[in-house]
Amino acid sequence: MIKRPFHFNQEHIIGLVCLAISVIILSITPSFPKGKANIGLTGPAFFPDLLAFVFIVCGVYQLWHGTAYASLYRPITLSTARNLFKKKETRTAYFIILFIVGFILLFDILGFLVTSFLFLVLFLLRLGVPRWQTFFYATFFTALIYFLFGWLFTISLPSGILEYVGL
Amino acid sequence: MKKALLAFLVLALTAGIVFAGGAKEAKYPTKPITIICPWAAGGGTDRTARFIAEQLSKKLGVPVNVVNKTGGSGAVGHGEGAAAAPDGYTITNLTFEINVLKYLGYADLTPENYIPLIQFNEDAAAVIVSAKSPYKNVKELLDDIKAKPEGTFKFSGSTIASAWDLPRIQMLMTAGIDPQKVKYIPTQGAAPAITELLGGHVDVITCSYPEAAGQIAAGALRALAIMADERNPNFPDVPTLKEQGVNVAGGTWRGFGVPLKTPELAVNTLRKALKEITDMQEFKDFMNKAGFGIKVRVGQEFGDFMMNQYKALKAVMETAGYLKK
Amino acid sequence: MDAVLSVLRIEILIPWLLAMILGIFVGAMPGLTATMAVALIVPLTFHTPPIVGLAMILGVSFTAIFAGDIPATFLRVPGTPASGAAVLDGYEMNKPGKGPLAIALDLTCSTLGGTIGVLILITISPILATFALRFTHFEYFWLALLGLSMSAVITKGSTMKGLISMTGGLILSTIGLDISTGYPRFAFGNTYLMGGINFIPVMIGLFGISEVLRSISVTSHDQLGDAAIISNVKADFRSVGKIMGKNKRLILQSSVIGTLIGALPGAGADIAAWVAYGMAKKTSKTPEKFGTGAEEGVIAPTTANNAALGGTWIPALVFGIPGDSITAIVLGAMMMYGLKPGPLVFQGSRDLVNQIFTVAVISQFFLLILGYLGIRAFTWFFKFPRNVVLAGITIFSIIGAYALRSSVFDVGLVLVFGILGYLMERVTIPLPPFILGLILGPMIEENLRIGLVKTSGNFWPFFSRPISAFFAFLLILIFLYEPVKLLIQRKRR
Repeated sequence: MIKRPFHFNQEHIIGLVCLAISVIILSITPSFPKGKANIGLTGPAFFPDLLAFVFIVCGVYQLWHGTAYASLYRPITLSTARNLFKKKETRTAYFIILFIVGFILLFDILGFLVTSFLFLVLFLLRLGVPRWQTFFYATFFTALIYFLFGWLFTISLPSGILEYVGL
Repeated sequence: MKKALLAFLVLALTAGIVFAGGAKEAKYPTKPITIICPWAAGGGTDRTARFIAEQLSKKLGVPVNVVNKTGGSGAVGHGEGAAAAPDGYTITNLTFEINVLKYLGYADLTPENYIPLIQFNEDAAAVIVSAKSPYKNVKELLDDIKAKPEGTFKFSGSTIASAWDLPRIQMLMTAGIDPQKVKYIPTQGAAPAITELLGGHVDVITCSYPEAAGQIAAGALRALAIMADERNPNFPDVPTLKEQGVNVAGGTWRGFGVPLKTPELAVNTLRKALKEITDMQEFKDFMNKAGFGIKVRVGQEFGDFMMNQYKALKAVMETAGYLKK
Repeated sequence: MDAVLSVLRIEILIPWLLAMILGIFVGAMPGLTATMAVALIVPLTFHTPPIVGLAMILGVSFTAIFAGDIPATFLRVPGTPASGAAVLDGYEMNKPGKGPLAIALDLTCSTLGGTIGVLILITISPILATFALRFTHFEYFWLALLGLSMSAVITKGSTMKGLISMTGGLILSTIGLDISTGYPRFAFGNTYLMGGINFIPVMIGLFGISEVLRSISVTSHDQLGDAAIISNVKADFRSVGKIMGKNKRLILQSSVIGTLIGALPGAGADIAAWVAYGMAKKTSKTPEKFGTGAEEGVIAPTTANNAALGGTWIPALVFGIPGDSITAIVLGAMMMYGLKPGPLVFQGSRDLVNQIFTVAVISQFFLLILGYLGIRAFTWFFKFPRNVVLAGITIFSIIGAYALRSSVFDVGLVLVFGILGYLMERVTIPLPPFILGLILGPMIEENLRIGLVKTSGNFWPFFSRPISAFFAFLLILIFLYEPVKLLIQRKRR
């Protein structure tokens, strides 16, 4: 076996995440009520504990695998982390995530029509859709969903601030 | 120009808000009403809620929508209903579970979190066994449970601490049997429990009579008792539990409530409209066909009923080991 | 024949067809399930004669289950839970532009599966229903484990990563109220978490939103990024006949698996589709093609999920026990008509039962036509520019998740699992086992633990009961077949 330098790579991350989740589970389950052995009742902790142990095995395997077969994977270093914010398209993805978070926070307050229109406008503009098209499609989708969900499927969408103008 | 337009818009919006706010106090209802149903679309509670929503909409002249907010044994829907704006436009479809959520530690909710409007349904639990079972009445069953070793009998009916589980525990307690002496097989509702009973996998189930009526009529199952104060005119052959010497009544119920601090006008309008609906022949036909019992308690009477049951359940929950410490 | 004529009347046909069209729309919306479509219809049926209401319910459920496959094939967003398995090869076929062929094959197989399922319902439902009653916790435990073992069958690449994905799904499924004690696990006092993690927003996030994120983060002209967007969509029925001819046995096999699993009160169309998919791969001559756009991988799950619908009516009609969440609603509606579902319905309302059977068969023909129109209607969406389509998928997914229980909590789940799905694919962890774990986790845990309560902790009934033993044997066979075959081959050499 040729001695290879240690590379931190994606397999190590998977392994560490597995182990972290196991630790979290095993630190919470002791507070669960206990089972009753006399009637064969296993406690609520039985299944999560079992899964945590499976995850520990998986995690240890991944750590070993990532080290032994390091040459198969690209090393992850500090510069990889910096690259995460460099590309324009990746940044767009972060913006989309941000828009969805904004949607969640504002949906009940601003109501369906406003939030969904704003969301679509921001989304489309960010993806570089021309301005007039953006407004057209944002209006179109909002109206379509309003018709389908609100009217046809009778799902009540929040009216939010528009409540006061009677919408 | 732009500024002037903006100023105008702001002014118009403010006026609209003030006007709408002012109008609300004088007149109710002026906009759509929402009924929060804590149970899934298509289920029993949902069906009754939708029927009543339709009638209420006709009575009040505004749309009435049913929104299903499910999860956590009813904790999600009941919680959202109690926390809704107290303006009379959000009604909660209260069910039996409101009386156990706090004991189970699911949510800090009791009947006192709502202004009671009306109760419109009550279904007693029935004790049901397989037609092949040797027991012809509740006494024989309970005597045998006493005689046999612990864990011989398997009961089922629904989830734990449900409207079908707790009366069972009350029945055993009243008969002087430790509820832990029988096993309880929790299921997601009455239908899978009936399946278990039909397959011979459990011995006794507790659920409402109409839920098992098809099987009872076909001669596959047998009802030993219903846990009501008196016999039900729809199935008069089934004796009550009280007749058989066990003084227990229990089961599920449905009703409506609004958040605390809801204006008097809205509360009274809703109570009156809902009372009128429950008096209608159409409502009675609907409930009969769907297999739901009718029991109407209006306003404070409904509130007292809930609180009495809520207080009484504490001991039952404790004996059953369901009470969260 | 009388029954056929009695349902082909204009006052039945119009609501029936309208309901089926509604089913296409609801099914094709991510987040809106077939169950929801039926729940939408039921209040309308209060005012109609029984057969009209039942025709609407039957029609809407068949089209909704099929329509769920449309976004699954073109966008990798399952429209209904039953379409989860249809994502695998349908979307892979769509990537090189064979989406129209996949969906045409899908539609034909759905119709055929639906028909076979209904025929089984008509002919041997009493036998099957009695058989289904013998299933209890012990048998369901093995069935769920069999379903879970499919995650090993369908995983490509590292088995360990498949296991990690599956265990992740299982762990997620433990969140919420524990059925045997009612204890709220990992809920941290949040009532939404107490209700458990609904797998519909998870599925939309893992498959759909992750794909949107990926499409956005690759350069716009990247070939893969444009995979979801096709320029010219025309369902191709010519090649379908040939493919179906080659796979007659598979269609029959998947239909039977679908109907049988559908007939079990504890399992429905979603599990049926996964098991049929795994079984198809196991019995295929070219299993290595699965997951890369295999025709067989499209046929099996889409045949099985529609066949399962017929199956779910078996316990519903024979015993009055719902076979799934749809028939649970149906039974409620039947009571409204004064019908008592159960053994007596066959004697007391024989005519109506015949009409139900007729409606179910005819619905399949309507499905073929309306499904085709639905595909055409759906595909105008792709005529939009790519970025507009991405925005459309996102907003529809978000609102669909919201509509589940009118809560932004589920929208949050879509986002969280969209990001997780994106990350998982980046480090080559397969997504399907995660969904399988999440769906089957509660079934495995509940049946194992409650089964043990029944036996006071004794494991023996899990092996000694005939059906349990059969399933256990089947499981061993699935895992040992390959290695044993290899061993024998090696020895011969």
